[in-house]
Amino acid sequence: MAERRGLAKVVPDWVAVFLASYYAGGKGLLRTELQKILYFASQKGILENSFGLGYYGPFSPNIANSAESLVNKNFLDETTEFFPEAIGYRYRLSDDGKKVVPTLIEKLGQSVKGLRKTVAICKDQGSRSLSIAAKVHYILKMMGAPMTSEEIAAQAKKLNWDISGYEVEAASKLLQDLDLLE
Amino acid sequence: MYEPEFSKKVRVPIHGYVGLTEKEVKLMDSSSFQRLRRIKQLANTYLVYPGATHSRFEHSLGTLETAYRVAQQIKSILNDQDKMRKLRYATLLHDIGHGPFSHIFEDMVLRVAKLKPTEFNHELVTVDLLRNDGDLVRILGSDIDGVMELLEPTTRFVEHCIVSSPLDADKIDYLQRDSYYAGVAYGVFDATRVIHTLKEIPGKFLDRRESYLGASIKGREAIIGMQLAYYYMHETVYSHKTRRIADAMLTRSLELAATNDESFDRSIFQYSRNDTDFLESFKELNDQKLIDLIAASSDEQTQQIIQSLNKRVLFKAIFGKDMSDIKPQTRMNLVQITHADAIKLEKALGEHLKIDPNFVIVDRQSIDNPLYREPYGVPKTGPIYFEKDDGTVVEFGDVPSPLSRTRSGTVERFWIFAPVKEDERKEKEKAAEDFVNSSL
Repeated sequence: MAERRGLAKVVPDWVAVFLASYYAGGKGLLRTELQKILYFASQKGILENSFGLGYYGPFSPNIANSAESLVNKNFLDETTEFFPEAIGYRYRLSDDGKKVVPTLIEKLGQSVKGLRKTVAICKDQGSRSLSIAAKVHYILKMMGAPMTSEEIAAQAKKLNWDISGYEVEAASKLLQDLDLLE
Repeated sequence: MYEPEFSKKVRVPIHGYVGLTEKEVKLMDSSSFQRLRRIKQLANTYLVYPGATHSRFEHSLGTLETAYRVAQQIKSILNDQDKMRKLRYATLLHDIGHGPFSHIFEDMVLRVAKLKPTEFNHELVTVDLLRNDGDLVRILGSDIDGVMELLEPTTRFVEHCIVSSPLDADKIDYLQRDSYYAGVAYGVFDATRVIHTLKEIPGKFLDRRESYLGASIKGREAIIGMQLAYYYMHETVYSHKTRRIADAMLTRSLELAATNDESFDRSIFQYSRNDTDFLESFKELNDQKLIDLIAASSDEQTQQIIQSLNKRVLFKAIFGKDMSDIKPQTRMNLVQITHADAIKLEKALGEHLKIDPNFVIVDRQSIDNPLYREPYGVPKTGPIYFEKDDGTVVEFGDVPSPLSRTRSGTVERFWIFAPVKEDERKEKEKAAEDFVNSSL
């Protein structure tokens, strides 16, 4: 498999965070989901690629800061959730955010169509699946050549990412749906 | 254990005597470094706190001394002559790339040369000077590459963190120094304890770094104190409303001179990497020279603003609110505002307030709360790691403390500044509020 690059008009990071949270519907998005979905969107050219190598996969401080900024401006609500192995933070549109979203979407027009589609594909995949898919894509992009599932899993191990060949196969389906894989 | 041989000792407030080796004395005597005597550490803050006139020169000496004390806690540097020497050079020279009035000069360069913040900042100019200043190249000799690597790193070891990180020598010095000269207590924290508890955190715990500057868990309270000092100094000194007004006025006078006066020398803001013409004129620039340059402009409005600044007749804040207190659609419109939008907004405001729009300034302010628990331990200021007694490493937000789950985040405010007399202030404030509520 090899990564495929997309082209689209770029939206600002804070818009991407805000609208991704909106397009995810009532349940909003966990931080990991937000990071990985917007990673995919950046690879499709929908927003600038500010993602670097993080311990948990591709990570963008710009996206993290944009989310924080939107919470501080009362456009997003952040709630804390407790999982067995970690604490999660979920983002949903606040009441103020809901008031302004129609005007924003009208202003942006077609430029956010790609983002809406990306969120629709990803929003019910779960954090772990999205994280693995993002890591697989990152590896493919880094290596710049087609790789087998076993090769990707081996490369992931070098980066201290624990991914099985089976999980790579599952991730490839998501990446194909996103049109990020040949 | 390596101990540098000092040929001179210079006395500075906060640390007492700062020892300098023979080469460090030569670096201190270079024109690039001596220039820092004429650049204030806190720019226009002296208009609020009259004592805040200290220079980047003494701060740089203070940073050198702080870095040396920190390095003495780190075995891998303490026992390595080369590492210690390069670290000392890097921290001594870390600010030579600062322009007059720091961010005002940087903003002007970004605008005139049409650059992004990653394409121009004082760190890049520092490295450019190291690479191109004949005196510095000669003095540093074979150490120059190592010093440049510390200032513009391609990798990340603990010594890089002493130069730049949330616990770096720069912050430890300037928080204390700025607090002392401003005459406030907000920047006072237990620096001795902070330094005493600093240690090298091995890279295996972290995201791809080789090693990192963290602290023993025993230093938790002292480091929380330092983070609080950082926040309070930003709120009360660095981001003081009156300082922002003075900075905004100086920036506006510079913009007007550059736009309206054909004879104004814009070339001093035309930066490109390693441009020796830029560096030559940059080395001549200091606070007073920039003021003189602007004051010599033939543009009348530039003259008016500079004269007002000289007499400390400052614009007033006729509108100032936290963004979260502004109604949703207006808030969203302000979030999207570009520099071009701000100019249009100032024009419309000027007409509404019956004030010349060149004297109306809109300003968006952000103050980071360093106690805010950032995701993945990678905040804007960088992560802070603690090593527990059992050898495990934890990030700041995961250390039990009344403050580790603080959710205050970033404070964002929107301001409008304009020249108004006291007897018309209330009227203008109301007009500004009406405008924001109805027209934005």
